[in-house]
Parts: sequence; C-alpha cells; structure tokens
Amino acid sequence: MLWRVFAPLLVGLAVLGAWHALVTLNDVPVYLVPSPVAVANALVADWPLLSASLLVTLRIALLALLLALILGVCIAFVFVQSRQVEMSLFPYAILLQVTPIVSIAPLIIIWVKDITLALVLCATMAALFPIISNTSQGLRSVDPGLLDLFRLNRASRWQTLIRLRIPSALPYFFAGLKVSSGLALIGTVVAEFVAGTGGSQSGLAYQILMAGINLNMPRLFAALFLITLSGVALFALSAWLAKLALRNWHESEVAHA
Amino acid sequence: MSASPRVAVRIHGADKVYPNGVRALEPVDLEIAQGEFVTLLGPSGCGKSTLLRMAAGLTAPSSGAVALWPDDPSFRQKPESTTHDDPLAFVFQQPTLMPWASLERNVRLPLELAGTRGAEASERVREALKLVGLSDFADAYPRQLSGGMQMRASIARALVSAPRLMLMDEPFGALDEITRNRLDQDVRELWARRGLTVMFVTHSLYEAVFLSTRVLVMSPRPGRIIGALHIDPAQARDDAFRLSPRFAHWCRQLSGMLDGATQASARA
Repeated sequence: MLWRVFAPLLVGLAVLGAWHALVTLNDVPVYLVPSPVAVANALVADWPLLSASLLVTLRIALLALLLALILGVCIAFVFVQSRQVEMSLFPYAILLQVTPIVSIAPLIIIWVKDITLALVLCATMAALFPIISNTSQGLRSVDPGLLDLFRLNRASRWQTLIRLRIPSALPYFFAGLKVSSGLALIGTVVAEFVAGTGGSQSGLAYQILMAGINLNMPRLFAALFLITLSGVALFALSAWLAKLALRNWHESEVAHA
Repeated sequence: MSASPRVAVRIHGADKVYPNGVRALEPVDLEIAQGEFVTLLGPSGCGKSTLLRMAAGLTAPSSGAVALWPDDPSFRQKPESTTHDDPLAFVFQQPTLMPWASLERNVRLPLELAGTRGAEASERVREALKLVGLSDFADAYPRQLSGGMQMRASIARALVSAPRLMLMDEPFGALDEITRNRLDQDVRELWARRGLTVMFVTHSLYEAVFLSTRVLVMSPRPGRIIGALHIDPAQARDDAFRLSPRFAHWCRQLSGMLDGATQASARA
C-alpha cells in the first residue's frame, strides 16, 4: 500500500532531479528551459496572478462539465426512446465529436457576446459526446432477465426507467464522466487560447500565451503545471463521485481484498 | 381443495415459429391441474423454455392459446391486466438479481412494483427470506453471496408475492450437484407446504424424477411432448429416495423415453 504511493513519488522526484541537474550542468538559459526551482519560485512569486487565472479556468471547466452532464444525460434519454430517433440524431452527435473545437471556437466567440458563456459553450461541446454515448449505451444495456422480471410484474415504463434502466446505466455514465472531465478542461484551455481574453477574465491559457510572448518561461511552466493539476483534480472529482455511487455493487469500484 | 382439481394452466395448440421460418415448437396441448409439480424434460433446443415462457406470457405463441386458471372467472387471463395479487412467479436460469440493491430490496421489488409498501411489505420480505434461509443476509449485496445463495434469493423474490403458480426455468442448471440437490429438496418442501403449482424446466432426468408429480418428455427441435411419466406423489422425496430402486426405475423409464426421442429425431 505504502509502495503504491512511494513508487510514483520516487519517479517524480527522480525526473525533477534529473531535470534540475541537466539544466544547471549545461547552463541552459532560463528563457529556453527553466529549472524546477525557477518554476517553483515563479509559482510563489506570481501566485496572485496565477491563482486568479486558475479560478477563472476551473470555474469555466466545471460549469462546462456540469452543462455537458445535464445536456448529455437528457440527449441520451431522448436517444433511447426509440431506435428511429437515435438513428436520425446520432450522426450529428458524432459530428459534434469529430469537429475540432479549435475550429469552431472562433465562431462561437463571435456569436456569443458574453465571453464566459462563449468559453463555457466551447468546453461543453468538447465534453458532451462521451456522456451522450456512454449514457445511452448504458440505458440500453439492461439485463434481459431483469427486463422480463419487470414485465412479469407489470412495471410501468416509468418504474422500469427509475428502478432498472438508470441504475444499470450508472457505471457507463460514470465512465463517460471521467473522460469528459478531462475534455472539459481541454475545451476550456483551447477556447481561452482562441479568445485571448485579458483583464480580469484571463484564464491560465492566457497566462501561457502572454508568458510565451514575453519569454517568461518559469511563469509559463508554472501555469502549465496548474492546468495539469486542474485536470487531475477534475478527474479525481469524477472518480470520487463514481466510487460514491458504485462502491457497493459494481466490479469497477468494489474494493478488492 | 375441491373434489375435481381445478386447471391451473391450459395450453391449447400453442406453437412457435420464428420469423426466419424455424419451427421451435410443434403445437402443444397441455393441462396442468392446481397443485401439480410438472417438469418439462428434454435436451437443449427442444422448446421447453419457450413453452414455459408462453405460460408466463413472456413469449406469445405463433398460434393457439395459453390460459391460466381458465375456469376461474375471478382471474383475469390477460398477462397485461393490472390485477395486483400476482398469481404467477417466474424463476430464471440466472439469479437475475439487481446488483445495486441489497437482498432485502431485491426481494421487495415485486411488492413495490405492485404498490405494497410499509410494514406489510417488510413483514412479507422477512418471511420470504426466512423461508429460504437467508434471514441473516438481508443487507448483503448479491455479489457477496455464492451462486446457490443468489438462487435462493431469487426464489424468495418469487415467493414474496404469494404466487399460486411458480414457473421455474432450469433454475439450478449452473450450480454444483451438491447445492442443486439441496435446493431441489427445498423447492419440494416449499411446494408441499405452500400448496403451490409448479411448472419446472430441466435437462436433468434425476432432477425431474426427484421433484415432479408428472414429467413431460420433449423431443429436440422441432419440440413436442412425446411422453409423460407420473411419479407417485406419496413417495417421500429425501436423500434415501435418490438411492432407492424406485428412483432408479423411474430414471430408467425416462431415459428410455429420451433415447427414443433423440433416435426418432435423428431419423427424421
């Protein structure tokens, strides 16, 4: 158990050590590759700036994830009502998935006046598909024996949905949520890059953009580090929710002795 | 019980032809009296499960008719009717439990779907779990139990709605022999104690002889009933019976009928 924590930690420290050694021994200029110490210093020195941007980015990513969750589940419910509905709409859901968000972000940013809303919409589009696809598959993946049982007991459509289809879909839904949590952040960062919004609205992507222009590599790395950290945090949140919902019964979350 | 036993299941000319033209079941005529323990015995693909699902209303016959308690005017025959005192219960090949719910909630399901709630439901669930010896596992989840215990829970769920007719589709086929023998004995006792009518599907002739008052032998595809064997209802069903000459005698008879069936279909 202890080893599971220490082993990756050790690897991380080794990489940081090697990084630091290589940079200092070879006298690599700080505007090319900063040492980890320089990055840590930037993180502390620029914290007021970076933390404000972190909050902006996190807020947009979380809002987008929430919106994708609500929309995705609603669309999945519509899909499973009939095969015809799904057949007519599913190609468009795929279209949404395969269109690179960076190519439609400029349009959305032009059309939607409120910049926060525009960014949220971009990130939502990036995060939506896994939730639609997984949830609709989950709603269909019901044990046929249990469906027979519900039929024999004359369960209404509503009872079957609440007591059978939704619980059956939960493991699929959460698998989708875990993927979408990462996509929401990617969508946010991409949209921020495209929007290039400064001022009080500036997110981490803007800080990276500016730091790059100014060759302020330590700050760039510090912002990058915070983005990565946000991604891990969003994933951890999704994984925690999944564990909360499934820990008693689903193989994926049951603690193995 | 009245002098002339009432008919629990009447199947008249019911057959099954699948859309691709494959005939799974020749037209079947069958009457099962209330209180009988009737077993459908046959090799895989003989349509015995199809016949059972027809009796449950889960599969519609291609032609012909299936009726439960046809002579009972108080009983609505249509499976889609919404009467609440459910007359039939079905036990599947698999335990078919909801993995996200405790045993208590699994067993409670038929009552909740029928709108029975509160203390009455709790009492009936407790009783049903006790009947199958799972009182101590009410809060356990299905995955924490052995296959045999899951099957018991499935039987408890069938019993909780106090059915008049139990339809069982090879319920113990996936279990080891020792567990299967135990559960066979339990089912026999429940049948006797509760005055149930049971329609049971199996491909084990030993299980058929041990359980039934009447065994119907079916031939392979297209399925049809090719013979019946009555087994003395007064015969005690215990471990001694399994080793008795009478048991062997009935098994031999069934075995002969099954051999005849497979040879006949091989010639055809």
